[in-house]
Amino acid sequence: MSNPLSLRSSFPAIAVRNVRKRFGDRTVLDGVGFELKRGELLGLLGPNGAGKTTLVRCLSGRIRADAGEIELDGQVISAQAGGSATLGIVPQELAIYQDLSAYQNLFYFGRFHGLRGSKLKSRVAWALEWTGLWDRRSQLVRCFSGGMKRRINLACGILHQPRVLLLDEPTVGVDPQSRDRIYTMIDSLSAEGCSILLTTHHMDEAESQCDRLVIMDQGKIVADGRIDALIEKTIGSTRLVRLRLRMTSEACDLDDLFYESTWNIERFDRFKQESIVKIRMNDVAKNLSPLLEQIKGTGAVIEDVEVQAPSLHDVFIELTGEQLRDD
Amino acid sequence: MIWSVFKLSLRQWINRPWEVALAFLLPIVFFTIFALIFARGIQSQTSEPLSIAAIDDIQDEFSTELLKALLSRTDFSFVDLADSENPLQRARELIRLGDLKACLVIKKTLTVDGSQALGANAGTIEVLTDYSDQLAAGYVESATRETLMRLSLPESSGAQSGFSHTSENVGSAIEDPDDVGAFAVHQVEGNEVSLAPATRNSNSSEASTGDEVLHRISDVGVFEGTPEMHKHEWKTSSREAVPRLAITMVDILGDEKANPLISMYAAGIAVMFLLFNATSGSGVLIDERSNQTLDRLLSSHLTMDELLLGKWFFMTTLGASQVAVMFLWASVAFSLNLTEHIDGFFMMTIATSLAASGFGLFMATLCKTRAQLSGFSTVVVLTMSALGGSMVPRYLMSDSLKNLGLFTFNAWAIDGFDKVFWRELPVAALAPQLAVLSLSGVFFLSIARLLAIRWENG
Repeated sequence: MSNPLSLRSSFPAIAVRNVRKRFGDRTVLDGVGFELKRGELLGLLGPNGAGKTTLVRCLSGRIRADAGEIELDGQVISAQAGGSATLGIVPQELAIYQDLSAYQNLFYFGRFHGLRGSKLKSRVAWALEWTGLWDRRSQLVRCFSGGMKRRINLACGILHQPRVLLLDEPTVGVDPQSRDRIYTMIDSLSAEGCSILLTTHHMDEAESQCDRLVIMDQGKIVADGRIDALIEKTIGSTRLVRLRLRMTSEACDLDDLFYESTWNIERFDRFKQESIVKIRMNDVAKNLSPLLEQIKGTGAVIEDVEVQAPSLHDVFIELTGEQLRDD
Repeated sequence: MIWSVFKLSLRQWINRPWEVALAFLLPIVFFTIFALIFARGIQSQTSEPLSIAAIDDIQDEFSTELLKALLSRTDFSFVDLADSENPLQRARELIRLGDLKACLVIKKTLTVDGSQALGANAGTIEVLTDYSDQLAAGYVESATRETLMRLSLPESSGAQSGFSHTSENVGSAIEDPDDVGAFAVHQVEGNEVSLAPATRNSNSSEASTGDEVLHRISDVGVFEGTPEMHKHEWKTSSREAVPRLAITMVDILGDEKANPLISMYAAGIAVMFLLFNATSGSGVLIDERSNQTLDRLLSSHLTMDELLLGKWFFMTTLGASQVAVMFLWASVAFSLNLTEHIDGFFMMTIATSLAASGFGLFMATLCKTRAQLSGFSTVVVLTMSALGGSMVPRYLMSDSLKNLGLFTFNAWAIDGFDKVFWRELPVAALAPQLAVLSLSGVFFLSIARLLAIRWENG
């Protein structure tokens, strides 16, 4: 893609300030505020019903916030402001025409984004190459696999080379290969300077792809920062040590060791022949060796040791809780 | 941008080959079915007074008496043509416009003496009528014949009460009209009926054995009386002879047409299909909304106004094409005269398609889901079609139903196509239909636009 950031400025790509939105009695957005920096890939996370989609619709100008301010490239946006050359949108649903071919979909969405003539044709050709669908450009989209449809769905949103892209769960329902391909495509956009706001439920994707994360819950921003900072802030630098122990006939009771010691036991499951223990540990390099020595002293055989760093998943659950969000 | 929406919609449609095929085949199949059913005619009754006029070129005693009898009927309302310079031409115009159901033209003297009763100079009553209203035409014909027969009966037999006293005078039925002579109503080429002197043969007196015989075969069958009838005096006159009469039914609109009734039903079927297709086609809007394509479209440079207008024009074009194909089929298979009425046809087709498309978009923006639209529109369209005359001719309906039908596209469209193909009126006469249909299209499109605001606001 050619330079999408021809008009760089000092403004953030998106600035959201104290945005509020209610539907009837229900507050969907409750004072939301964050920024998407230029060239950044920002992950927007949150359980179902957290307000992500409403926020994205506010950002795209499709609905008007009751209060607050949203700026795109330093310009305050309003609802139904019409198309913006700055902004690209890739909805969660397959917002493409199933009864048009890949080429026709790209062509018409390009037209609606204001592309004409040779520019339009070259952008469509580029998009077909970019998505790896050049050879199947004449086939109807309804004949495509889920991954292929997702790629076309993504391509239709960036034909006009937007400087800011809103991606709403771009990999939902696709296989790992297609996910990898889509993220390769997203990486290429990011590498060319496109500012991307990505909403997803895939924690591993967010963790591996995003420069920064914003976590929403119940209409509010509950965390905003880089993954390391979020982990440090919520869970800390502790590691989870998981031990699998085989109990021999000579082994004495482990209760004394684990319950009457200062180890931070998170879970201890005892079975006839085997025990599994999870211990939260601050300084693994320093504390793991003494722990293992103590266990050996009991006569138990250490079968496996696993040290887990805290993940985004842990941070997410820590911040939003384990309660289901079915409504 | 609108052109892009148009082309996009066309492209979508072309990529659904079964839908393309059905779009043109279904109207033809259904039209053929309905044409075959309706071309056979429908019998029913009416309670409205029928507007008729009369032109008496003779104004003799009997003709005056005949008209007086007809005027006294409560089932007719007479239109006075006395002010017209050319009453006959005026009557034809009024019939062509649909303002007059029939006009009786008494052309020759009806007074004859007994010796000339079977002579060559028979009187003629021409009943000018419009067979697009088969019920009215048949009714006027029957009523005229009945009145004639009543006046033809002798006073002593209770002429005033028509056939009620004919048992004294009417004898046994005869199978062969040639056996008795005197008067016969012959059906000529379907619509034309004449009461003419029948041939009297040598056996007639034996066959009748002195009785007057009245005999009807079917509704438009044969009326026969014996020569003895003319020996009786008329109830209101002193004439001694029965006049020899011929009733000729003249369908002034349909006579020159190869397949006169087809044009009436083509319009009814066409508008019903237009409504179905428009509501179905507009359902794409609901799909676009449910899969967030609408969000994507409205986030581009495309506005809701352009989107709706593009779809409106596309569906109008598609609908007009369907109607054109159907009428082309009607012209090939059913001898509908399309080429001579192409201007009126074109205008009516476009106006009807505009109205149907606007209505379809209104229905789509009113409903939340495809299933809702499908169910709702089926009911509405079928109801409109039933009331508007797409299924049953409106002349069979009561006044209230006819008036209710004016709230449907079908009635206006059918009236318009009727003016084009049946009445063959100039295109200026289509102004009311074109105005109502076009404005309805714009009105429903405007309502659709208002309803679509809620989609713009999320």
